[in-house]
Amino acid sequence: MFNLFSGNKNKQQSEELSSMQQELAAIEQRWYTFLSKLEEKYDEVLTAFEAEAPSIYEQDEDYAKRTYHRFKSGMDGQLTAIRKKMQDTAEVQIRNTYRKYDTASYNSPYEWRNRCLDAEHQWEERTNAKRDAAFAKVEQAVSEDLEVQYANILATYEQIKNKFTCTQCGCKLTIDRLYFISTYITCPACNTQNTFEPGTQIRTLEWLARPLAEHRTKHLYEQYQQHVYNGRHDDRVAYRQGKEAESMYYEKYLRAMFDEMNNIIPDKREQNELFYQRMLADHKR
Amino acid sequence: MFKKLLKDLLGNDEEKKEPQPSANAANNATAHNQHEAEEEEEEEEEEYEDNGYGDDDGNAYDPQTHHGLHYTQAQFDAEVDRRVNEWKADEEDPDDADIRNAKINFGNSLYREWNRNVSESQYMKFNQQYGSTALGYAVFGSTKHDAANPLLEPIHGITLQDYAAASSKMASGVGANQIAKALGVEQPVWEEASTLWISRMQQDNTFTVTNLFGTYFGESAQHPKLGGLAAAQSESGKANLEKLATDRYFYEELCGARQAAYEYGLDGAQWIMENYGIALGDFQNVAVKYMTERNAEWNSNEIMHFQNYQEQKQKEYAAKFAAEQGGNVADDVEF
Repeated sequence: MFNLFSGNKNKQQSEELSSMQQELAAIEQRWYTFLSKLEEKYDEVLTAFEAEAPSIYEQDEDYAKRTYHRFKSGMDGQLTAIRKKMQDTAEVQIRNTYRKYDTASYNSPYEWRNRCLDAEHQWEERTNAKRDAAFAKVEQAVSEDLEVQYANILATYEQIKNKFTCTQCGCKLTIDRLYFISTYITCPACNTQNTFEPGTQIRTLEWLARPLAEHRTKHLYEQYQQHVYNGRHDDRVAYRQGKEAESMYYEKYLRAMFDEMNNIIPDKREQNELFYQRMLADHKR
Repeated sequence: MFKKLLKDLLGNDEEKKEPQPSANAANNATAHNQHEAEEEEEEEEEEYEDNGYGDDDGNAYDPQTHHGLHYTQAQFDAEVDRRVNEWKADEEDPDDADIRNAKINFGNSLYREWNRNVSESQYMKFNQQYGSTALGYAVFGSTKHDAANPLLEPIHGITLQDYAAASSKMASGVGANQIAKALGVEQPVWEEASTLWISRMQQDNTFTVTNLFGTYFGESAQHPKLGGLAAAQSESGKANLEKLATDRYFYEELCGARQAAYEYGLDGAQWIMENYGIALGDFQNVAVKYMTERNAEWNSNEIMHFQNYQEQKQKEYAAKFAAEQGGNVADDVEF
C-alpha cells in the first residue's frame, strides 16, 4: 500500500533525468563549438598583429613610438574582449546551468561541469601561450629597429659636430661628445659661452639607451631567467644555493646591461652606476 | 580591570613573562580604552572583531605612525623584537628577508592585539605604513621632506618642488622655455637639472624622491614661480577641470573612459583633451589629490565603491568605442 505511488515517482524522476542529460549534452556540444570559433577569431587577431606591427613600428616617426603602442594596445584590447566574452558565456551557460541542477539532491552534473570548465581552462592556457609567443616575436622584430635608430643618431652627430660656430667671433667649435641635451660650449678664441642645441633626433638618445642596452644583453637576461629560483623555501640548503645562483646570473646581466648603457651615453656613467647599485640592492632585498 | 588592560597591552596570556609597559604609558591609556577593557572583562575572550570598514572605532591613534596612543612606539618595537628573537631561536639560520618578513607579520598581529577593536580601515593604514617602513620604503602622502637627505639637495638651484611643478606644467602644455624663464635659468641649466632629477629618482631605493615628486606635482598650482603658468584652455575645459577636482564620480568616469580608450587603440589622454578640454598634467594633478586623500583617510568600503564605479564606466565606454569601430572582432560568434 505504501508503495502505491513509488512507481510514478520513479518514472517522473527518470524523465527529469533524461531531460536534464539531453539539455546538458546539447549545451556541452555548443560550448566546445563556441570555444573553437572564439579561438579562430583570437588567431585572426594575432596573425594580423604579427603581420602589421613591424611596419607600423618602422613607419612611426614619433620617438616614443606612440602610434605603434596604440596599435598594440588596441590589438590587445580585442584579445581581452574575446576572452571576456568567453568568460561571460561560461558564467551564464556553464556555471549557472550547473547551479540550476545542483540544487537537486540526485545526480548532480559534477562531471559535466568539470569537463566544460576544463575546456575553458585549456582554452585560456592555449590562447595565453599564443599571445605571449606572438607578442615576444613582434617585440624581437621591432627591437632590431633600435640599432637602426641609434645608427641614425650617430650619423646625424657626425654631420653636425664640425658645423657649429661661435655666435660672437665665428670661430669653428668642436662638439667633442654626443650631447643629448642643450649644452654650453665655450669658444676657445673669445671665451663666449655658446649654447649647443642637439635637435629632436639626438635628444631621443636618452630614452633609447636603456631599451637598446637591454636588447643587446637579452641573451644574458634569458640566461638569468632560466636560473630564477622557484624551489621550496623550507629546504634551506637548496634555497640558499638556488638564490645565490640566481643572484650571480642577475648581476652578470645587470652589469653587462649598464656597461652597454654607459657606452651609449658615457656622460651619464656616474648616474648610471648609482642606478645600477640601486637595482642590485633591490634584487637582493 | 587594570590587570585586564595590561593583559591586552601585552597581548599574551603568559603575563608574568612579559615586559611591562611603563607606568606612564599605562596611565596614558584613554578613559575610552579603560571602559572597553571593563566591558571585555565581562565577555568571553574573542578573536579580532571588525567594527566595519571605514567606521570610526573610537580609539585615538597617532596620525603619522597610526599606532594607538595607549602605548609608546618604543614599547611596541620592543615587544616585536622580543617575539622575533623568540622565533629566531627556533628557526634554522633565517636570512635577512625571513627576519624582515617575520618582523612585519609579528608587528601586524601585535597591532591587532594591542588595538583590540581597531577598524579595518585603521588597520590598513597601519599595515601600509609599518610594512613599508620595515622594507625601507617611503609611503606616498606621508613622506617627509628631510632637507638633510642628499638626494633632495637642489640641482643647479632647482629644487624638487621646482622640478615637479615644472613637470606638471609641461604635461599640461607649457613649453620648456617658459619653464626655464620663470625659474630664472637658461635652457641648458634647466635641461641638465631635469635629467639629473630623473637620475635621483632612479637611484633612490626608498622611493622618497619619487613620492615627494608626486606630492609636489599635485601642488603645482601653489608654486610661487610656476603656479601662474598655464597653457591656453577653453572655458568648457576650465569648467570640466573644476568638476573633475570636486566630483569624484566624474573623475572615476573619465579614468574608466581613458582606460577603455587605450584598449581600443585610442590615445586616452588625447581623447580626454579633445572631449573635455583637460590636459594630461591637469588630470594627473587631480589624480594626485585623490590619491593623497585616499592614503590619508584609508576607507576600504569607499575605495571598493569607486573602483566598482570606475569598472562599470570602463565597460560602458568600451561598448561605446567598440560600436564606433564597427564592433568587436568576435561579435558575430554566438553561443
